[in-house]
Amino acid sequence: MTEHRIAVLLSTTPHPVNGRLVMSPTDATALALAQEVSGAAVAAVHAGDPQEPALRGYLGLGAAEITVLPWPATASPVPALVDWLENFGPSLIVTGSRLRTNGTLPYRVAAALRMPVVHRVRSFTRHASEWLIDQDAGYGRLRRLTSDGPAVVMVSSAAGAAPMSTFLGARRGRITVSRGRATIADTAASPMLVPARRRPAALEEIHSDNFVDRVRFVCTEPEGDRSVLHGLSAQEVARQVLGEMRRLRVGTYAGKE
Amino acid sequence: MTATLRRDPRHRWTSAGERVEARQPRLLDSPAVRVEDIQEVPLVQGCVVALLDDGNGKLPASDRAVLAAAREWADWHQLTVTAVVFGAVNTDIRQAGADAFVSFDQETAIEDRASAVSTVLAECRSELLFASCDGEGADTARRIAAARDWKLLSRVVQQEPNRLRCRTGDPTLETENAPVPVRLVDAAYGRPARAFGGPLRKARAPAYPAAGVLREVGMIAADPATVPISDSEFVIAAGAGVSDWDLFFRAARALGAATAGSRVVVDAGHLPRERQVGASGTAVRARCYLALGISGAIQHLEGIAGCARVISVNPDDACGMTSRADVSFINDAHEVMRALIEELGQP
Repeated sequence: MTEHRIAVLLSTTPHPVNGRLVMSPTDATALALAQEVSGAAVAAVHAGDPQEPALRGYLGLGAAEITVLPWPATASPVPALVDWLENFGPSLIVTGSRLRTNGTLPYRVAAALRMPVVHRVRSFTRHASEWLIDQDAGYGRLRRLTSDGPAVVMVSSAAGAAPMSTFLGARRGRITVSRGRATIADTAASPMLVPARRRPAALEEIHSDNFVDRVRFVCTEPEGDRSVLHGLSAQEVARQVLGEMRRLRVGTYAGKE
Repeated sequence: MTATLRRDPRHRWTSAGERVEARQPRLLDSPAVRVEDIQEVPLVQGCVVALLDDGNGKLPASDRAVLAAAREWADWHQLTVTAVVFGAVNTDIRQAGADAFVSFDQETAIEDRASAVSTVLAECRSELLFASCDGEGADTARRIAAARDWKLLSRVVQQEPNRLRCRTGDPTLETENAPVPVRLVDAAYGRPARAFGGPLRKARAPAYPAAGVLREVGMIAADPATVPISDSEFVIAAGAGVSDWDLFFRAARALGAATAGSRVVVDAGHLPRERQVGASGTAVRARCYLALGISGAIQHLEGIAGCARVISVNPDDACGMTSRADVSFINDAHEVMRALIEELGQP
């Protein structure tokens, strides 16, 4: 008996080298993680072109069926997804973190459905009657959050690579077309593409082959006090180092007041 | 024939015959703003809000780009720039273009940050928000755009008074768009047109409603041995001056630090290649970097350029690491390691 329904929002992204539309890697990880949750029915949905060949890759990850909502590529898919999700009634919505155009889609879907959003997620499980979501908190730490009601979870690339897509799964899976009643909110024309101009590199990323540039970049004095301490005994040095650690709250003093 | 005084027409001259030196002040020439000089004022109406990420003690390039973009737009429309900072403010933001700042607590939960910045936007009656492309500011900006149904543009790399240029996945193409309220600025935006001096004003942080739907259960600490050193918070690095390796690993375990080493040590086989710090190794961005017996060749210093606090223990007081480190102790590394283990009370 499946008690929970998880909706996975899938998208296609242009390949970084050849520009063809392929599976988004974080969406694939999101689908794989959703299927690992025990006792949950996973439904994958995509708003776009039902004939898109990149969707077969998601079928190869074990999704038996993908629901495609026909939608033009230039319009924002938020109304179609919100309409379908309201009918589906999920207890969790999972998606990846790769930008589609400007990366606001999960946030807009969550705002329309009045659900909280958690980004940079490494894993999520069901525990008792709530969802346990582990969020990347920087420096390898994890922040554990709980949610009683439905939430939108954005899986980050730090959650690991998805398993490889299988050809047989891709052949066996079905793509179902579902036309909802959503209307296109704005027919925004595609932005004009212009040739790029040469831009200087960001101020702090000087990776020049010129040795003089590297020396200058590395040896410019940062602001702040520097001190060189002679004549201290090893015990005094140890005490000062531990004092610095305590002040910065790193190492064994991490998380202590 | 009387000699006529000839003035070089390529330069500017006063009527008294003196040459006017026309030199634009460079960004680094402006005097640094001291924290005592900051005046507290109410929030300015009709300003541009720039959302900054917290750097590791220095103002990161992404924040400079955000402030440069905000400054440029504000200059065109006669507005001021208010920077929103979570944590301690870096006074370099004045040189980078901010007029005033609002600072919130660094421990503010991610979900509450959007509410805080949204309150600042409402109190300033501002409809312009600039943030960086990667980092926490981008997530906060997207939440605000979704909550208020504002349009958002990512990777803005150039602005004109009626157009914005954004980068795309294809490095040879950019897009031209109409101006939007929320702009995520690419780190390659460029430097501000001029340096800024004068007082930095601090605005009072308004109270904001908490988001409060998700509950934080706790934090799971990272195991220093499994986190890659590019993400480690506290790194202890050994150089050619360390010979007792059992002592080094015991000290690392006692301190709870990630082990790393210079090229010399990794080539000799004491540490794996993933733990090499330097130009051809990994760049470390730790909050604290403890260098034991490292002399500090240029290639190694390139790897620690992003570290916030560098502590060096080296018997040589004239080496490169001693001049680069924030605190240098002129002692033997092994004695200090033994003393650290003893102070922490572990075998």
